[in-house]
Amino acid sequence: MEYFTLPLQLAALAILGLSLVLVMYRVLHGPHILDRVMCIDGVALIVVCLIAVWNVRSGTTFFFDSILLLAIAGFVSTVAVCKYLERGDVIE
Amino acid sequence: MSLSDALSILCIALIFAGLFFVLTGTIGVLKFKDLYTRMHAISKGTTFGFMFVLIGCAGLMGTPMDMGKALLAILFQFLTAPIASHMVGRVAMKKGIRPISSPDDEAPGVPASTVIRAPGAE
Repeated sequence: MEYFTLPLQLAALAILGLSLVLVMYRVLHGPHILDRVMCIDGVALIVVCLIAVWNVRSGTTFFFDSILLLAIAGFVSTVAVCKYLERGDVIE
Repeated sequence: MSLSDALSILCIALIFAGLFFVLTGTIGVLKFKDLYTRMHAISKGTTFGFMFVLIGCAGLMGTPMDMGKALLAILFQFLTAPIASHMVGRVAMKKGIRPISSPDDEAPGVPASTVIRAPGAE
């Protein structure tokens, strides 16, 4: 734990923030709606990584439950939008 | 250097390896020209990096409860990421988005990267 020093923590968070910005470009400018949908899934994944690194940095386990919830939310949103685009209805 | 020091250094190395994969996956999403190749980049690279980052963070946290939660999240992601990307690919095929192909097997008159917009997508 003491080897994960402050520059390493900040570097990890900066890399995750940079990748979040790059994915958000595709979410905002994606030519097709499917680009946006799958990039929103990627945003959920990167936010989960961000929460995990932040937990290690702050030394609490307070936010660790939200990892599971965010992973489930990303998957369910992707499947719902894909079903809507495919069949015109989510719940049949 | 004791064993726990070596383990924590290994966990930090795992975190940064995972960050490398996440970053390359997102650069692929930004740079590739086709929906199918972009889907390839984000579904493989980001999921692989996610696994490394969560294993490293769980090792640094140290309590068995957090390790269990992280392993559960990794398992769930590995079960659902192929399903999600397969669904995206199937819908894209049904919507008529053509993958970028070599110039030989291009259909005459249709450029390879034609994107047929879904209703409601601008």
